[in-house]
Amino acid sequence: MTKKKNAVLGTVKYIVTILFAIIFASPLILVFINSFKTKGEISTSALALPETLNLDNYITIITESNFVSSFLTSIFTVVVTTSLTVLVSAITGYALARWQSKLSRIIMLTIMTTLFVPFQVYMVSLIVIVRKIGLVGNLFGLILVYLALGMPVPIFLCRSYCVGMPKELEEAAIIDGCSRFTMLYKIILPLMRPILATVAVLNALWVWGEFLVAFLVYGNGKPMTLPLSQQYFYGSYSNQWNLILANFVISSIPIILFYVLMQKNIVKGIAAGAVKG
Amino acid sequence: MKKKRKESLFYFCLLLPAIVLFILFFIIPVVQSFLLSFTDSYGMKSTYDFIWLDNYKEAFSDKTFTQTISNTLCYTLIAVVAGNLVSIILAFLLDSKLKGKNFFRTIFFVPNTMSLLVVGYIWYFVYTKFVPEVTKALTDTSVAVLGNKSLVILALAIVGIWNTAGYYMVIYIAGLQSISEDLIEAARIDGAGTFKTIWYIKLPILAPTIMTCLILSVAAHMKVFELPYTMTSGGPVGASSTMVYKIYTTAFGAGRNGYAAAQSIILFLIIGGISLILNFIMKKKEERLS
Repeated sequence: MTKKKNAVLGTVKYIVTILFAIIFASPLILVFINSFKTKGEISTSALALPETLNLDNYITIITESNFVSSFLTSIFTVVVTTSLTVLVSAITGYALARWQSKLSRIIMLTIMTTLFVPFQVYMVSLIVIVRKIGLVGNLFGLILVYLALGMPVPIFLCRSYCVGMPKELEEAAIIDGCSRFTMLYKIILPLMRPILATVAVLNALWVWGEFLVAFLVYGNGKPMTLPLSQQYFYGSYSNQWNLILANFVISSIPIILFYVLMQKNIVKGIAAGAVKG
Repeated sequence: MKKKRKESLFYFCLLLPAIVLFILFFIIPVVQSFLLSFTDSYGMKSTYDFIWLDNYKEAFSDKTFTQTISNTLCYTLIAVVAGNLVSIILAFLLDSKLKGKNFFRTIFFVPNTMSLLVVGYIWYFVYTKFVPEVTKALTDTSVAVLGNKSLVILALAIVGIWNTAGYYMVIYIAGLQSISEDLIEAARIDGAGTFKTIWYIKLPILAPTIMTCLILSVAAHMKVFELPYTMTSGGPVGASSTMVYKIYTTAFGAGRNGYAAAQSIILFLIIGGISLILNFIMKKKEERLS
């Protein structure tokens, strides 16, 4: 009796899951199908399948737009920002975990405050400051702002991780005459590798798709990052949905692949961040 | 003594980059935001006068601004309540032994990996091409969701849910996995069915996770900018203008930095207020349980 009931329940569960999956995937499927159509086909019907499987839209995107250059710019931005974020949050988190001082407490308090004061609240004066330093429209300026905005949660995660690390190894290394910086580089950072991987993956995911900060700080700077180029592309090719959608498809594929490959780290990071935040 | 000082210097060196970044890109802007909100600072002009509470007075009598408060609250309410409900359901579905569990998780999470800008454009396409075509075929009238004053916030909230459901699902799954198997087994032996186990055991244990997700998602949805920016430009007649979108147009469109700063402080007070209330409720609940 219960076995039968369980089987029915299992089937219902499966059907509901599939329904949800269809609802969630349908906008993406719609985009995917329409990215193979011609402009005329889309304006007659967004639902119909393309008559022929033509790759013209994709070829146009790759050869005629600045897709390739902004793709590379985004990769560069992500690599530099994420490396810096990992480095800064690792050393800061380590120092905060080991050094009991007034300064450490003040920094911890600042980090807690950043979690409650979103960027949108101070974006107006932040831009005024960035403008004053002369970093507007500068890719390194953007990277610096990303680093500053993205580091609080990583520092938090690194600190908690270091608190749980045994001190004996460090003490032994110091007694053996190892300098502190060598010890940090040779012993601490390798020990922190799991949490640093999590931090890196989450940071890369954020930087890759970030639009508002890039838009305000970097603006019309060249070469554009991918979201900025997509905005520009949308503006200059308005109504050419065939090209716009093809652009979205090729620029989303790398990040989806990245998610599939890094799934474990992402899931772990989100869960840890939620508990800490 | 000397060793101690050397140690402090070492740690100070490690903290220095973070300190500089925090001062430059957090503390100064936040303080300046607060100060600017009492001034008539305008565009690139470097001089300004203090007009004290005039910006705040203007904000509360400015219908185009107060409207964005109610729009944002309405958007957030729908997106938070319905969104968390969807995320919890998805977590329950995918926590069990389901064939192709990872495949489904990927489908629900993919919208969260995409840039919000792209999400906005994609849904603009859905709402302006797909929805009218379907409604035309079914009812003979094509519905323009984004042009409809009473539907537009709901339409944006659906996009917000689509974008974030997978994220909170991941947190809920983590919460569910921390429930011990023994507890579930004991409930089953006592004769509790699937739904009773969910209602009387899993959900109460999940309560802190639910609170965390509520606080996180309130903060996230209150900040919505990209969706009105890409899909409606705040229209029709301001019906979908959100607070951050309004702050953006006030500061970077009209150049009124002082007024925009005051609007930002109001946004902060609202987000902070809601978070405090939720935190308070959570603390109360925990006290009652312990």
